[in-house]
Amino acid sequence: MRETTAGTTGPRWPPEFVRFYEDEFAGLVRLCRLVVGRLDVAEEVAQEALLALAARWQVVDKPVSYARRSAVHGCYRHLKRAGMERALVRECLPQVVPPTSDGELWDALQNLTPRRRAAVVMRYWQDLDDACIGEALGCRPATVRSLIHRALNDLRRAVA
Amino acid sequence: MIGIEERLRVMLTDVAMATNVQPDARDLDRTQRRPAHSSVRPPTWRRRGTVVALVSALLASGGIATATVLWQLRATESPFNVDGPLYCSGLQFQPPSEVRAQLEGMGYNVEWQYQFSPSESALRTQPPDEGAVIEEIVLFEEEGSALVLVAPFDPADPLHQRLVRNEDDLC
Repeated sequence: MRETTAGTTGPRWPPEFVRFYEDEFAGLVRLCRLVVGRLDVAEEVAQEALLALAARWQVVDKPVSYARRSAVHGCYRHLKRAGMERALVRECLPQVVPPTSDGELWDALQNLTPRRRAAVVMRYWQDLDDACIGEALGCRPATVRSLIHRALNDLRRAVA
Repeated sequence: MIGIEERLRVMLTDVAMATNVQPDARDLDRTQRRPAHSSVRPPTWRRRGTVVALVSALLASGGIATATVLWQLRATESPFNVDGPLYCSGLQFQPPSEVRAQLEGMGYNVEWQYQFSPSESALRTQPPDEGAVIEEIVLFEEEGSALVLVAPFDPADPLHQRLVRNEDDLC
């Protein structure tokens, strides 16, 4: 039987996956928090992304890319749901207190479309190149450049 | 004067550094989703009943409770997930008649849960004449059927327009 650090009653996660989880989870949570704004949601989304990866661990070639793509899409889904909830139920969700002293820029970031927001976070926090960001977003590098260019314009206008 | 790019770097790093996370692999077991990993699935009638109940509760309860219901629905393996059969299919916010054509073209028998208002909904075998698909389509692969949630939708409503723009931006 293969050794694992996971619980005794759950599935036996491959040791390589558990190491991957321990190395990458915090980074994924931070990425998700910068995209969705909320830490609790970020942890859920990152966890879901790693679970999706666990289910395909033996067949995924680039686990970091897969987890990042899955997490970014999870963020999209959360943001879309939050937007739908506002639109359909007509109730405001609790406002997230900016976790930074630059609240003006944080608020402007939250008003970008999810895809532009994710692109900006991956470029300016993770320093990823166009190809890696495109892989996570499911688009071409040229589209990434366009997304970031437009996002920066939106941010400049918002904080001017 | 500091440029927007440098300001972004500083702000994002600031937030990331303030985000303390302690990875614990045992959390994987606690949040494990049933359909993806469990070898024992509840019977079809119970799964379908659960979905219908959740959809009926949607909007009827409003606010935080709605968020909870949406979250629970998500656990039913949305076909809109990455790798899901409807990922970026363009079905979001489409009128029921168009969604029906696409799903039937994929071989599904389609049923409809129409949310008339925040407190009223009904299960139908025919697509409603109005409204649009909002996010949730549950595929019952073993039966070859699909349950589609439809809600009132006003293309002129700025909030709804923003949802559509966001959706277009994603795919």
